[in-house]
Formats: sequence, C-alpha cells, structure tokens
Amino acid sequence: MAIMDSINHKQKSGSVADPALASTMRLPLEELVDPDAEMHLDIRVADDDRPQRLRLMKRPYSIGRKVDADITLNQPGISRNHARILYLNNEEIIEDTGSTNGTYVNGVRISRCVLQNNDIIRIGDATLLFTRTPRK
Amino acid sequence: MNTEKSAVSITFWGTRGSISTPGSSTEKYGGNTPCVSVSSGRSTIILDAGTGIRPLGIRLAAQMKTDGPFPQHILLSHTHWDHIQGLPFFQPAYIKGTDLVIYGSSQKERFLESILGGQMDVNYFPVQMKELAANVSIREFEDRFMRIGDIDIDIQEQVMHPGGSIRFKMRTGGKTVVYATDIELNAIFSPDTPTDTTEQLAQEYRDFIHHADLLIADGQYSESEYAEKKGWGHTSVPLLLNVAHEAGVKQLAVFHHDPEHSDAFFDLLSRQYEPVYRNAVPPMHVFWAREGITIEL
Ligand SMILES: [Zn+2]
Ligand SMILES: [Zn+2]
Repeated sequence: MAIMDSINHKQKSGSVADPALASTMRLPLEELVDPDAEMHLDIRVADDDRPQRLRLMKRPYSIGRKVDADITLNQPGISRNHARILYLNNEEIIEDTGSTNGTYVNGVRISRCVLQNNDIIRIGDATLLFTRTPRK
Repeated sequence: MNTEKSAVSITFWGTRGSISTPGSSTEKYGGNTPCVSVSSGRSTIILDAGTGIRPLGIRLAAQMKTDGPFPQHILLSHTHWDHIQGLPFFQPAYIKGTDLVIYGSSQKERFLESILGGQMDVNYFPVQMKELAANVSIREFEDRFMRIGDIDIDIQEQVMHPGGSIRFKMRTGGKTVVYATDIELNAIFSPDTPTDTTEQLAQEYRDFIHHADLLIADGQYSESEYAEKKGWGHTSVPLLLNVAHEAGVKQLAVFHHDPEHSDAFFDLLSRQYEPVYRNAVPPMHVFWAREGITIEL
C-alpha cells in the first residue's frame, strides 16, 4: 500500500490546521451590498397614470387604504391595512399584513418577499416598481 | 407576519442546485442551495439542508433568544452535497436544549448518521457532529407516512437520480404541498423505450402530485440543455410543466436552478412559459422559485 502510505504521511506531516482557516472564512459581504444605493418605489395607481416616485429611507412604511398609512392607496381591492415595507439587514422586505386580495411580486402572491431591483409589486390595481440604483 | 390566520406558508431559503452561486447575476433568484421551510400554525418542517439553511438558522436562533429553544425537524431528500452542506452552519444545532431531528432515507448502504457525520469529520469541519450542543437525533424513515405537529407527510423514494432521492407530500389545513426535487422526470415520462416500470413510475408520480396546491419541483434544464445532460438526474422545464399541468397542479415552483443560469435567464423562461399556463384550462400558476420569498396557501 505504497500509495496509501504516502497519502497518510502527507496528512500527518502537513501543517496542523491554521486556526484562521479552521473556522469559516469571512466573506467580504459589504462588497456585495452597496450601502449607499438609493431605493425607490415608482407608484402607479392605475394603468394610465404617471408614476409617483417615492424614495425609500431605510425605515418601515405601511401601505393601505387608510389615510394615516405611509403610502395611502385609496382604491378598490386594497385593504385598509394591506402591506408594509421593512428595512432589515440591508434588505428591503415587503410583507402582506393580512390583506383580503393579496400582495403580488412579479405575479407571485407572497406573504413576505425580499425585494430585488426591478421587482414589480401589485396591490389591487396599483403597481409599485422597486428599484435600487447605486449612488454615483 | 400574519401566520396566525394562514393555513400554510412556504419560505424558500435556497433554490440553487448543485453548488452555491454568489454574484450579481444570481442575486434575484438566489445563490444558496436547497432549503425550504413549510409552516402551519405552530408546526414547521425544514426540507433539505443546503446552504440556504444558514439564514433560516439565524432567524430561528434569534427567535429562540426570546422564546427559548424549540424542536427542529429537518427532512433530507438525499445526501448529495448541495442538500446537506448547510447543516454545520445551522445555528440552532449549537443551542443547548434544542431538539434537532434529522430524517433521511433508510435505503442507503451506509447509515444516515455516518454519512452526515462524515461531512463534519475533523478534516472537513472544525466541530464534530457529536460535539453539537443541541440534542441531535438522526432517524431513517421507517414508514411511508409520518406526522409532525399539524403536518401530515407522505414519503416516497424516487429513482432516476444518481443514488436516488425522496419526495415529500405535506398535507395541512386542507392544503397540499409537494417537494420533489432531484429527479429526471424525462426518463420516466419520455423514455427512449417505455416499459412497464417507467409506466408504473409515471403513474406513481402523477398520483403523488395530483391536484397539489403547490408543487416544488426539479426543473434544472432548458429543453436544449437537456439533450446534452440526459442521464444526469434532472428534469427539463417544458416536460415538468406539462406533467404538472396534466396532474392538475395549481401552483408550480420551478426549483433546483442550474448554477450556470442567470437571473435574466429565469426572467426569460418566466416570460415564455408563465402566460401559456396562466391561460391554460385549468390555469396553473408557474414561477421560478426565488430565495427570500414566502408564499401562503
Ligand atoms: Zn441537488
Ligand atoms: Zn442530487
């Protein structure tokens, strides 16, 4: 078993695991997420509407028909308390807050979704386009 | 979240097949390998322990800080790397008092315990399985049926994947969710030479997914790619869609994404196929599973 021997020898004589390598290496996650990116919602209440742009400020937003919602959409098919947008761990997240007709992201009815650039959120007849653009 | 009122909610933590794929061209559909959680009321089960189980573990560990440890049930479709690689990074495994039960096939030559322990051998990972703080118990399926909390689970072995795999059907609150990944359906539904065996396998599959409210299924290859990847153990998109629709599936999440496929490619496939099945009779909602999404049925 000459081959096995040489393999065993290699394992044993090789340097004992470097503690830094023995644990998980840290990935430079910051490079994957641009903390300065600007995030917007382009809100269109009906098909022929001009979109209204809202800049998302890394805080929660409530969405619904009630007047004191952060984003008030007074339309049929939209619940008083329809959805909310959260900012968590560098991510924008949309959650349905128990609406009657649902919250859709790119056509999929979701209860929660981490938003990605160019996602189209549909709430009743309103569409909200989410964009994340690097700040120049 | 309104988990109280919902019957069942499904979260995709990892949707990529074979190997994780970080990078800007995969951030939308995600780069983590398979992990899906299914919750109903107070019951949750975890399907597969690919790298996607890491963010789920972080979430659960945070919850345990306030609520104390609670039991975790992980069901493994099989033990190919992409389905177990996240296990050593599942935070609840390091929390004392957590009951962690891992289930897998009993049909393998080696015991599940030794297969899973193997990937935490000292040469691969600094912490050994037996050193984990949680009460880990590793069980091989003894039966074709089990129940975890409010969730009834059917278990069926799949062939037409190297080494085999298992599909699961979860029934809870009147809804049915099927998780059937890592299988080459083309070899069953469109074999070079149909036999009694392929016909029987096809019928078993149809029965298993029949009228599912959600089917999470292997659709790794486009039609043209499949021609070159025949026998690799994964399914082509058009065949999957066709089989699912014929079985009356209501919603189909195409899953186990090829590492070579970009977000733009999934958007393209989605635009190509989604309208066809939206307008079919009966309609079937097709989407490409994406990391970080929770849907309710
Ligand atoms: Zn796989
Ligand atoms: Zn596999």
